Amino acid sequence: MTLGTIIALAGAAMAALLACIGSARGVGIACEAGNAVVAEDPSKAGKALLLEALPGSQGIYGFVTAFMVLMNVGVIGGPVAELTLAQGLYLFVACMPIAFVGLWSAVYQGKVCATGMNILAKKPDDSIKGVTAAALVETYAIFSLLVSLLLILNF
Amino acid sequence: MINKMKKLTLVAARGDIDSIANELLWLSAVEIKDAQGESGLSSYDSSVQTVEYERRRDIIADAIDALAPFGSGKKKKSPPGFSRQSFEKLEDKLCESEKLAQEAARLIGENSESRSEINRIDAETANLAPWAKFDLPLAIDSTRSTSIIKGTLPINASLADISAQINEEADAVLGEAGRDNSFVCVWAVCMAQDREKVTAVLLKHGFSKVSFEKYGRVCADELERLKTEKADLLKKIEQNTKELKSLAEKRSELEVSYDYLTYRLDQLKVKSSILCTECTGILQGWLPVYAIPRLEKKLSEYECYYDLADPEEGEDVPVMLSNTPFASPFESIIAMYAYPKYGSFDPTIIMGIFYAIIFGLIMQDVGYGLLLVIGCPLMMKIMKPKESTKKMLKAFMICGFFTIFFGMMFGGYFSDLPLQIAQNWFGVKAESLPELALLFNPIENNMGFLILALGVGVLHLVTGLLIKAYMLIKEGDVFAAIFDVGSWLVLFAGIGLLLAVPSVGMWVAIAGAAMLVLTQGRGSKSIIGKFFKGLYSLYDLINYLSDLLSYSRIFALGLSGAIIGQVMNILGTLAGNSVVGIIAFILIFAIGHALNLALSLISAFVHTARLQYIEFFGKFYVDGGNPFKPSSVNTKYSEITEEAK
Repeated sequence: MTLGTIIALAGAAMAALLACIGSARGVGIACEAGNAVVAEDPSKAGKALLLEALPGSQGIYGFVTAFMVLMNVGVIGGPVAELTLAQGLYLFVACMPIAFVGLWSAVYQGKVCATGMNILAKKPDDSIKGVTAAALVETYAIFSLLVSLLLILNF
Repeated sequence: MINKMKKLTLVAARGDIDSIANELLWLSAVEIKDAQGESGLSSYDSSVQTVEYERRRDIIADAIDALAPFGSGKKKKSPPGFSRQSFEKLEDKLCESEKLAQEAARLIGENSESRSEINRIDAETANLAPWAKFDLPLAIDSTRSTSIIKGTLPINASLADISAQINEEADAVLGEAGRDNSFVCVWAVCMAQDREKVTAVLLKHGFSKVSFEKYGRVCADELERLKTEKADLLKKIEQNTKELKSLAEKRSELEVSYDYLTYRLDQLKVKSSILCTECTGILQGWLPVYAIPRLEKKLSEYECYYDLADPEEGEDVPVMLSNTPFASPFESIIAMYAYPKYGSFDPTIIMGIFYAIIFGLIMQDVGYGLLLVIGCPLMMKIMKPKESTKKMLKAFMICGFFTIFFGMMFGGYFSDLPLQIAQNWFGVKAESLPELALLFNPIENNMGFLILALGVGVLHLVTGLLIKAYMLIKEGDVFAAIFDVGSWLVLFAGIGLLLAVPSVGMWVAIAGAAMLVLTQGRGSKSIIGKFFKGLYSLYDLINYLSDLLSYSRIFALGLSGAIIGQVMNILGTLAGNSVVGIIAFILIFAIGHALNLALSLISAFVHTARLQYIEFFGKFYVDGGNPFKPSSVNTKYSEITEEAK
């Protein structure tokens, strides 16, 4: 296995690592707030779950990016490619947008979701507006996924 | 379309106004306005009665909740139906159901009392049990000249040692009555004057005194008494529970009474909206124009004066949307944002089309689309959700059809399941596989998909601008439509042409920009202000650009959904088509695709809504309308079958 291949795999690992850490924190923040609401009124569990699940998407974006790199390198479904240093660095760089934006946006989204729980507690009919607010944060995770995917797909 | 509304003002004799108000309630076409203390008129004060009815309804509501666990557990059939006459006759049954509710409350109260009594008995029994073999009456602490000391010592205390120590000081007999896991129950008998000395020795060994003042008899007898008491209580609970079960059979009576009391409360609410003079009552409300014939027919039966006026400028008119069956489910998406202001534009149908297209582009899978098309009606059937949820499910069903369509276009059948099965189970070479997509494969031709997503965005944004132009023209401001919308469209057309015919496109774009610079500053007074404001308006180009780029989320979400599905398919089919492989496949397929479907659904729903709310509505939407809520007979458990004519 060449150094290039290993650097590419390091990129995949970073994408999965950082984005999943972000999601874990984001979902954690949202769940802490959500449980308080559900404790008051268990019938709100379904709507709370929607808000709690939103920061989870970054982890999945990181996972998808990592998987794409693994497929490109051939760790999944084929002989492992002998990448040059430049190729390895290319894939590494491709992973960075979703790795870092995934990490931070999930945490911030988690905070937005936690405050969205206030809407759920006080005006349950309007709780979807909290979801829309959280989607505003998600936009930037999607853009970074977009860049990562475009880079990898055109490798 | 936003329904035209009229403002109803109705004046009738005080004797009639109550029954007219009641008719309006049954008509359920008029939103009766809260009384305003204009012109010094007072409204009927119903607060005392309201509190009373609310109290009565609460008792029944509590009983309904409390009886729920005692029901037979069978799913109820359809809710009981009532005509108007039979519903209004429920007054006679009210007394009976209130008794029933009170009886239920009494029985439940008794049961909880009995349960706490049993807890007390259990505690006492546990306390007495170690003393079972002690054969003196428990309450006796002394005779004329002796003292009896009872208490516990730690489990490892040696009675012989302690006995010897006591006997050094005084004459006493020490005995064991029984033991528990952690202590020994001991008694000591001594002369009355030695009591202090004996106790002092015992205390040195960790003695703790117990007294049984309230037990007059021997321990075994006392235990027996507690046992029978507990048995009696249990029997009583059982009997009460049986009665509660038979009461629970009559729960539907309570539910009907609950609905009836809600009706009475609604009546009181309407009544308090009536302004009264000495002999007349005045009532105001809103109603949609199409309901006027029904109202006039109803009112012709009464002696009253009424007037139907157009809403005045600045009045807060309730908004009622009406749309074709295709579009009306998407009203729920509008309601989630905010209703349009009365007199502005109802974009439901246009938004609905774009919603379904963008949703379909994000999901783009025949399998998921089928699940939506089948699943949504099924949920409506099984769960019987409320009206707003039902609308949402219908909207998702429509989106499901678009998902199937785009699935066929882009070759999504549970992502690339057919290809992976052919490849990993039957060893077909990747090169010899047919292309499933009718249009193109978005993973391979990703730039094509990105351009398509942005193309939908252009169409969406331009539609939004055209709606704004339409609204401006309808208001009579043709110039604003040409300057504010037309010049942007010219600029966009120019930028578009730049890609195709650069020489023409450049001039069109410059013309559009010039129009903007010349017209956008027309609000300013000085020439310089006009020029700079016009120039500054070009900065909005950045906003349009970021609006447009926002549509690239369609590309990212669509692609990530397809890729996650592909990952699941690869993992599922890797183990081959042996028995174990197929079992593994079924498990991974079910869990993986359920996960992907849930994620895709959430992101398709939320992000499509966002594109509507921010990118699309931002161009023209005037929000702030209050949804029209006609005063009507609201039932929670029963159905009013008769159409209120």
